[in-house]
Amino acid sequence: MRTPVALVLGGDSIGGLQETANAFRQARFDVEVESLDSLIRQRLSLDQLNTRYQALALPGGYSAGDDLGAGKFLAIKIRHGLGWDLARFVERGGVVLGVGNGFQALIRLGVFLKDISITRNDHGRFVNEWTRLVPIGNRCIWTRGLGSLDLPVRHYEGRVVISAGARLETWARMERLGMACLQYASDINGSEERIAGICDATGRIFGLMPHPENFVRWTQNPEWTQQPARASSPGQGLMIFENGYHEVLRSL
Amino acid sequence: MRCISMVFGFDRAFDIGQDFAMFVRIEVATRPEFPDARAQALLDHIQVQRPEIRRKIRWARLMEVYWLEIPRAREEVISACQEIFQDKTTQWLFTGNLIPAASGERGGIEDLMEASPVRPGKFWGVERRLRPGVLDTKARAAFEALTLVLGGSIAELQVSTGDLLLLEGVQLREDDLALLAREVWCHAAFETWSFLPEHELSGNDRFVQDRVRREEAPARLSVPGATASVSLQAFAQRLGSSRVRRERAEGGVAIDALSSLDWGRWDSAEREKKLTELAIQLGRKLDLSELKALLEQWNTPEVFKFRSTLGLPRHPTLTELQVVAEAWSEEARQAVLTAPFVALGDEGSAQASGLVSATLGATVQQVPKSWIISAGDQRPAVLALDEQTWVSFGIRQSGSRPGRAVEQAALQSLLGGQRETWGAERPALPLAQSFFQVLPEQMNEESTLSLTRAIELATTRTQVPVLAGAEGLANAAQESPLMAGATLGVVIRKDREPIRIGDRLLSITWAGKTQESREDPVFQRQLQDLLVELEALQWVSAIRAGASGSTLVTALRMATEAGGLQVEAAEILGQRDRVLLAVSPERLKEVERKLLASRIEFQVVGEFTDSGRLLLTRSKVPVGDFALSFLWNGPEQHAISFDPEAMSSTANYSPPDRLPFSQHGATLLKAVLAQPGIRSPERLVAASDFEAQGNAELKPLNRGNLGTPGVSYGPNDATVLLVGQQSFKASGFLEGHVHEMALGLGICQRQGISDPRWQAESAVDEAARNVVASGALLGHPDVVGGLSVQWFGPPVQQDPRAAAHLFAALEGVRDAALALELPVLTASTTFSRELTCGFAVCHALGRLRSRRRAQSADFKFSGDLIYLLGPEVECLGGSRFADLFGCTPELSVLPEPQWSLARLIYSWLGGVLGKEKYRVRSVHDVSDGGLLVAVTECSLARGLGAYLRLPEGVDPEAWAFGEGFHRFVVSSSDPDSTYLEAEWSALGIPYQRIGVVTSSDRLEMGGAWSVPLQELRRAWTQKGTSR
Repeated sequence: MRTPVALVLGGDSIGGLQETANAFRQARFDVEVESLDSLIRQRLSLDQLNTRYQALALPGGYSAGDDLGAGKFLAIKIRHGLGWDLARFVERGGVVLGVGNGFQALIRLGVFLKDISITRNDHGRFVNEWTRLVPIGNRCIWTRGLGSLDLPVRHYEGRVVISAGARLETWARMERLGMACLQYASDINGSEERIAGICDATGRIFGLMPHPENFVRWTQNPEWTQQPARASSPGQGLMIFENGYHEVLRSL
Repeated sequence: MRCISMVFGFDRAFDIGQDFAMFVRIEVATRPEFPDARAQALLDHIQVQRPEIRRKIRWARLMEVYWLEIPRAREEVISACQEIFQDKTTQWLFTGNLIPAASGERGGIEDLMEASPVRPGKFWGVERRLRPGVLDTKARAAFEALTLVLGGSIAELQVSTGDLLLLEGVQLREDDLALLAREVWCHAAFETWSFLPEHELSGNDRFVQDRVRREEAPARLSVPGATASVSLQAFAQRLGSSRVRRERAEGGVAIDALSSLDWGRWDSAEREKKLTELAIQLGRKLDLSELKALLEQWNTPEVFKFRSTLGLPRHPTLTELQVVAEAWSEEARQAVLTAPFVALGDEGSAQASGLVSATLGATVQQVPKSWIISAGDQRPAVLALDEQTWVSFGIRQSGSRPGRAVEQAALQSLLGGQRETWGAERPALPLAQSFFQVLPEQMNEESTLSLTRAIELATTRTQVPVLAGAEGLANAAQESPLMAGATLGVVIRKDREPIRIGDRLLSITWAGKTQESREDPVFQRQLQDLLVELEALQWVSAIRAGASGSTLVTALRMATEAGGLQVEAAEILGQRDRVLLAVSPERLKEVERKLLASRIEFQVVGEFTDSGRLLLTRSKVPVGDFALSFLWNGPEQHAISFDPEAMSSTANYSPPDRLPFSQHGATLLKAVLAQPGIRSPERLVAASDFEAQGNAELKPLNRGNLGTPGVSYGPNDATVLLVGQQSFKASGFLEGHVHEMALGLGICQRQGISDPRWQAESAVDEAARNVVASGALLGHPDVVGGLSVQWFGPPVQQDPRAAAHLFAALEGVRDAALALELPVLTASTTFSRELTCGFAVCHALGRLRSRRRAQSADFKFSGDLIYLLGPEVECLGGSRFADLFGCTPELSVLPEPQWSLARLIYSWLGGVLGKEKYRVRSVHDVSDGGLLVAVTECSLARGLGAYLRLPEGVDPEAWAFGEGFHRFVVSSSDPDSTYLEAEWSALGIPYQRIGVVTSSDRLEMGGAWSVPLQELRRAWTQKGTSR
């Protein structure tokens, strides 16, 4: 059986690709990091994407400095530069993870629902802290089997919002489909229903504002010095990547 | 590219040559149901800078404005603009009538005005537009997005950006708005600002070409370089245009005064007189010794003959004078560091051949370390962690420039440090930085906002965090911010070939083509990504940036390495904003393609030769020529005199003026906690308090007990980060071991003492203590560790007292570094007339044996015992407490370092000596503020209190607030304490059991007084009591 390969998108000043690539690698994926411009030059089609890669990662980290809006530039490049339809990628067995800026790009791509958007935190400040998260339901293949977990967050624009005119309908649909799959335990940014992460209707495309790639070993948690005996333990975020690995193995 | 002279209306297409261009103005506004964080941030700034105007503003919204010229049909343009600029849930677009559905009910800005709490109110708009040529990353993004969405390259597509500030306030007048625009909102990067009264805002005139006021052309994405003549003219103006005559049409200009000098005819006195006159004429850009060296070089028949063959005049051209002035400037050469020092006075035989070699350089030479690849000069040092992983460690100072904005100064310091890392001889990927700043007192309130914003921007956008931060004390005369930083990076590839003859020199501008450099972290990150890729692909022979900020000096280094250079003068003279690449002719096309694909502007400006000379051209016509050795070596250096008598080691404090410690210790403690250098470094490091590219094991601010109410954070002594996992190629990772490195800094500024040597020793010891406390091994011959030293002080050339201070301080650094076997890896100086007294900042790098050795400063469990490890201090000399509250002569004694004891304690803490270190649960160094401050800081992270007992027979204030060398607060469990005490006794490490960790959230002083931790936190974070 071949080892699943994850493609981690880079370039355009995406900052978190190394951590993300490292996390996928720790979850036993083979990892390739490619810049968007390079992929555009290669004209990597959706078919080729499906053939070569089983997982696609959109890392965090201020692509294009958030000019035009967080994640917007990345989304435009994926849609118009590469012409990828991520729904079709997952239909054919792929899985997609967007973290932070990658999550913002997934929202701009309309991967979830058209009335969902993301904007500045309600308090207007950059949040930079560890926060407790609660997985909801079992639709999302990435959060399956997870209990509550602590992850770092760091963003200006992490407040998930739903269009005022379509709020009830959209929220009902999200609940029905199990899309709001990750919540903050407490309100840190004014996000609708404390949403921290969303998956699509298949559960294979998952985006979240917290950074699981920054908690793949226990020593990344600030608590670790109180429990040094656990220094070699994995971090809770690693399970998200391992879930992706197991799902891909099932699909191969 | 052609220029246009007017703005086009959206609803009409104009023939501009062969194409049709449609003008669109788009205003992007956050919908009223969402808070406008940008507007709020601006209001905060106005509140600080112009509170009287802020009082008149009742409501504000801030919109982004885009001016587009798109040679496409209207339907295509509408569709593209909606896709790129609109978010239906969170934004409105105002476009005149182009896309009415993209805004509210009325389809215009009045919809936004309706959200104002006061209706009908009085509204104003203030609009600003970026200056042409200023780097505009937003326009770059919009340009590329339009290209992608519309498909293919669009030759006449143009984009510029700005902002529209919408204000409501019935008392606002145009004068207020002018003041607001001038002093708060529109800095040098903005070309125009204009007012829009309410009736203009409500109308659509600004969207309609025929009704728009004639304005300058919008900024274009690509403006051909036009800086050459500007910089030359500026220089000529400084020299005085009456003395300048144009000699060559291309810009070679000679000085009349120079051509009239008859060098051989005068005696030495007359030469001195003539040269003095000339130095004055030249605006003292060159001093006498430099002029002498220059004229001696020029006044030979060989030089004259050679110059004739190049078509150059006999005497130096203005271009050549400018080259010499830049290349020999103190900033570029750091000549003070290499100059000999001579002691004045009766016993004036003491002479050091060069300050660096005599002091700092000795630490590298006398303590040889096999892992030092290169060190000991102004460039980043390179250290080998193992056969595969090399790191670089460099420093960058942001010189004092009066009137400079804090935000730009901070950005320049941080981003400049990163550039020096990837623009060094061994290009490295920046991993983390440490940052030091001193802000003038009168700037502090406003500067807090600017500084926080700058650090957030720099660290989040470049993803290079500031992991150690400290601030210093400003003196009364200081008007400008002082900033400095050290950058740790991972060398991208070890094996490099030198620059070769025939390689081309490429120049990339990173700050936009304007006179005043403007830092942009987004562009910097894009540029860094590209250059790291080029380096990893081995497509470039050299990447260079930085080198004291002068592009000329950078080019000169490259020319010296290659053996010669022919270069366009305009591209390297007077520039601080260029990155230079050496590229082989075979790779040139590939590199150019890569740069073009990344939309990075560049020019091929020169070619490396084997002539041994720097040949300067303008439009390929020679305008200057130097032997590289002459230019590089500079004039003979004159000794800098110093007065040993000026180096007193006294402490002069005012008589004590304070409340008794037994009753008011808490009040005294709070006052000390609020002092710069002691109080929370949150604004310097908080934005970066996340993973250093996923690799921070110990963070600068330690947050304990996640989710527990009332618990926040406390300081760690140093940051520990992993090095060795960085990706340098799109397709792969650097293999090899992961190494744990600690990064910290130390500084000692004291008002009450005038002993620079003692202060320097204190700074070195604090830097070492910080990394040792975090678990690093120091001083072990096989273990990587070292210091970067930055000196800030008044100019020394003409001031024997200032020179004496510098000399003594560097001797202090040397002796402390040698005693601890810590090499000084790199050093630099910044001289400013605003500084009345000098001080050293030491950045320390240490290595841990494993991540398990990392130790945080916070108390972990109630019931743990608290120890003071290290020598007792029975005085207040050199303490912050004495600076604040004065001191009796008996207690004014300065504590002395005990370096052999230091090595013993540091070896034990690093795990080299003994076997019980693992029983320690927390370690925090005792530095600024003394023992009580250290204990407080240990308590803050987890909200655990402490009960302390005052030992008998000690002066309570000296015990609580005295500051010495080599001391730490450590905690351990009660059962473990027996083992620890036995080992300390056996090894001869002094210790005192001073108290116990409690769960009471109070600091209690042996029944005398107690204070809630919350009050201490308020003082420390500056959110409450200060003195």
